[in-house]
Amino acid sequence: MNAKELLQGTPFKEFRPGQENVVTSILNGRDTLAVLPTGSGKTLCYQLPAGILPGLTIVVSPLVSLMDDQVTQLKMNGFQKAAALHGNKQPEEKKRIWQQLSQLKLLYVSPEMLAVDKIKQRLQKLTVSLLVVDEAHCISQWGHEFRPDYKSLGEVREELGNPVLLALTATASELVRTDIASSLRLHHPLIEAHSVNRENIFIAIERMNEPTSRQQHLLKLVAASAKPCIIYTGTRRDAEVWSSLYKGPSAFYHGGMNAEDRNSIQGQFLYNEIDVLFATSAFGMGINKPDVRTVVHGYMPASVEQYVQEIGRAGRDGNRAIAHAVVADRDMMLPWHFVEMEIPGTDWMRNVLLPAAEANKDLTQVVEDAAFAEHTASLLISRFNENNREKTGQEIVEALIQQFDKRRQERAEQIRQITTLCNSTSCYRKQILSYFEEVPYSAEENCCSNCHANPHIESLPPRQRSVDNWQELLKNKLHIGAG
Amino acid sequence: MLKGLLLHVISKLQKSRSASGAVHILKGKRSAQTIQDIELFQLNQWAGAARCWKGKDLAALAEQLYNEKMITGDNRRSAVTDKGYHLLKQTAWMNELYFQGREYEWTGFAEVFWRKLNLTVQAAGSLASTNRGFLPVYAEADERDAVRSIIKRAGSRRVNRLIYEKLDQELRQLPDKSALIFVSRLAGNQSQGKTVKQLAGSMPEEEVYLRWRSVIHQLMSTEWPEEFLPLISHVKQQSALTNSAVKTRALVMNGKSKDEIAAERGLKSSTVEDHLVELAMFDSAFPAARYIPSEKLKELTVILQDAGQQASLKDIKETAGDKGSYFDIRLAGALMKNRKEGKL
Ligand SMILES: [Zn+2]
Repeated sequence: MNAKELLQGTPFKEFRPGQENVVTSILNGRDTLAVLPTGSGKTLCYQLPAGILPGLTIVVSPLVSLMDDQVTQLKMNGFQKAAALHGNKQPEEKKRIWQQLSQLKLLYVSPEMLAVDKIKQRLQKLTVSLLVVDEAHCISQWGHEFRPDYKSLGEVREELGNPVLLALTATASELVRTDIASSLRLHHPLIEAHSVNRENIFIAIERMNEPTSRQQHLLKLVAASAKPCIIYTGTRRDAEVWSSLYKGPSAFYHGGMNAEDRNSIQGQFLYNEIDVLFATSAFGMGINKPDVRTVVHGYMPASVEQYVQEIGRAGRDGNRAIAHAVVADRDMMLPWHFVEMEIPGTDWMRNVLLPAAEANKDLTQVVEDAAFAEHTASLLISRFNENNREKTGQEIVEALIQQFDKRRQERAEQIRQITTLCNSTSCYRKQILSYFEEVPYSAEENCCSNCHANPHIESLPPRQRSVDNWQELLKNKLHIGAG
Repeated sequence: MLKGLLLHVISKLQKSRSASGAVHILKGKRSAQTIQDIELFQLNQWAGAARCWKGKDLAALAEQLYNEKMITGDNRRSAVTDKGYHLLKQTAWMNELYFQGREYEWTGFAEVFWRKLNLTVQAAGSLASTNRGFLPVYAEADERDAVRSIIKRAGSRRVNRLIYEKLDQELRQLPDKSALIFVSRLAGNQSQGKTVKQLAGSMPEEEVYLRWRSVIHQLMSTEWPEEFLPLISHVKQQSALTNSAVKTRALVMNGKSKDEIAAERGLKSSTVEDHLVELAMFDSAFPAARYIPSEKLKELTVILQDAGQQASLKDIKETAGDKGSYFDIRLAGALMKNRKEGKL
C-alpha cells in the first residue's frame, strides 16, 4: 500500500513530516519510537494503523483529563469505535465500555488502569495489535515528568501478547530515548526523531538582579509582546494576581480551577476571545493552537525539557514567534519547592508515614494532609496496597526513601542544567541542541538574545469582542442572522 | 464569594444556630437537623445554593465573617452584628431574584439542566455555521446522550431556531443584567462561555453567580417545547411520588422509624418499605442513614455494583446472604440510582 492509499477514507489529505515513516513502520510490525513535536499530528500515527490492523489498539496516556477530548475529536473525524477508560469515569460508563470492548478499535487507558489485574485479564482475552505509549518520556527517570506507574509497561506489553509498540514523545534526549527503548523492551525499533529545534522561535532570556520589580517588568513586556501570548507563571497565585494587574483583557488558568472553568478559558483562548493567558504548567498539554506568537516564562522553568516543551507551544503555524524568559537568581527556589511537593522527605516518611501505616491508619488521609503532588500520593498509597502482605511497613518505607533520594539527585541535576542555560552568555539555541545531543548550531538571523536583537513580531488582529447587548450576543452564539 | 448570602442565612437563623448550621443549609447537607432547620426558618429559597462549593471554602468564609466582626457568637449560636447588618443592606438585590434553592440546587437538578442546555446551545450554534467542529463543554455521558437525541430527532436547524425563540422569549422578561450574564455564560459557535469570575467586573462575583443560577431556575420552571423534553426529563422524576408515599414522607421527615410509620398510618410493613424505597429513589432529602446503617449500605452497594444492572433481586440476595434483607438491598439499589442522578 502506498501513502496515498493509506489516507483514503480518512479526513487527512497528506502526511506531515515523520508521520508516513511511523505509520509504515507500525504496519510492517516494527516497534517504533517517534520523537515528534507536539502539534505535529501524533494522533494520526496510531489512528491510521488502528483502523487498518485487526483487533484492538491500546493507547496509554497519563493525561486523563484529555482522553475524553481525544475520543470526541476522533469521533468528530469519523472514527467511531473509540473509547477512554480511566479512574474518573462513572461506574455506569465503565460498564458500558466493557460491554462493547470487543467491537472497539481504539481504547485509551490511564497507566493505573493497566495495573489492575482484572482489567489486564480482560484485555488479554482480546487481540491487541498495537500498544501505544503516549508521552513516553514519563517512563524515564531522566524525563522531567517521571511517572512511576509507567515503569511496568514493558511487563504489561508481554502480558498482552507482545503487540507492536509505538512510543510517542515530544522531547527526549539520547539518554531518555535509551531509557524508553529498554523499559518498553523495544526490538530493533525504528527511531523517528525530529529536531527539537524550532527555527521560527526567537529565544530571549533576561536576567533580573532585582526580582522585586519583576512583576512590573513582566506586565510591560506582555503588553508590548505579540498576541496571542501565553505567560507561564511559577504559581497559581501569580497566575491570578498577574492577570488581575494586567491592563487589558486577559485570563488565568491553573489546575486549581474546576473543570468547567478550565474548559471555558481554554476554549476562549483557542477561539481568540482572549489573547493573553497567564497560566501554570498545567496549561498546554495536548492543546493545539497554531497561532500563539509569544510564550513568556515569568520564572525559571523546572528543567530544560520543560522549557523546550513549553516554548514549543509558540508558532506552530511556522510563522515567526518569540519565547521570553525572565529569570532571577532566587528563582532556583521555585523548582526546589516543587521538588519538595513531589518527593516526600525522609523525616516525613519515617516519622509520619511509617507510624501511621503500622497503626493501620487510613493512609489516604495521611498522604492527603501532606499535600504532595497527585501522582506522588497515588504512588505512596499503591506501594502500601500492593506490598502489604509480603513486606513490612519499614521495608516499604526504606525502599521508597532510596528511590526518592535518587530522584532528588536527578532533579538537582536538572535544575543545575536549566540554571546554566539561563545564566549563559553564549547562544541559547546551540546549548539546547547540545543538551538534546543534536548537532549544535546558531541560526543566521533571529536566533536568540545572545546572538541577535529581538525581532519585531506582528500580533494577530484581535477578534471583535465585548458585545454587551444580550440579544445580539445570543444571536452570535447560535449563529443566527450571521453576516 | 457568597459572603452576603451566608450572612443573610445566618441572620435568618435568628441567633439560634451557629454559622456552620448556615453553611450546612447552603451546602445542602443531608441531615435531619439541616432539613428541619430549612423548614423551621423558611430557608427553602437558599437551601443547597452552594452545593457545588467546597465545604472547606464555605467554612473559611464563615471564619472570615467572624474575623471581620460581621458576626459574633460561639459554635452553637451566631448573631449578625451592626457591621454585618450594614453589609446586608447592600444585598437587597437578592430578594428580587427568582432563586429556588430547595427545588433546583439541593436536588442537583439545576446543574444537570445547565450542562445539557449549554451543550445544546453550543452544538446547535456550531452546527449552524460552516466550521461545524467544536470543543464540547463538559457533560456526563447520559447528558451528552440526551442532547444528541434532541438534535437527532428534531434536526440541528430546527433545534437552533426553537432554542433561540425559547431563550429570547424567556430572557426578555428578565432584567437585562441577568439576561446578559446568562447568555455570556453560554458556549456557542466559535465561542466559549465566560466564567463567573470573568463576568464579575461591575458587580460582585456573588451577584453574578446568583443571577446566573436564578435564570436557570426560571427557565426550568417554564414549559418547554416537546422537542426539548430530554433537557428536563431528570427533573420530572421527583414528582413521581405516589400520594400515599407523600404522606409517609412527612413522617420520615419527622424522624419516625419504619415500625412507627407503619403503626401510625395503619399500613403493612411491606407497604411502608415500598414507600421508603420510592423516597430513596426520588427524594434527595431522604435521610437514608436512619433506615440502613452506613456500613451495611457500603457492603450492599459493592455487591450491587459487581452484579450489574441485569442481575435479579433474587440473585443479589443470594450473593448478599445475611449481609442484608430484601428491603436493605432494594433500598441500597434505590439510593445508588438517586445518588447517580442527583450527582454533581
Ligand atoms: Zn543564538
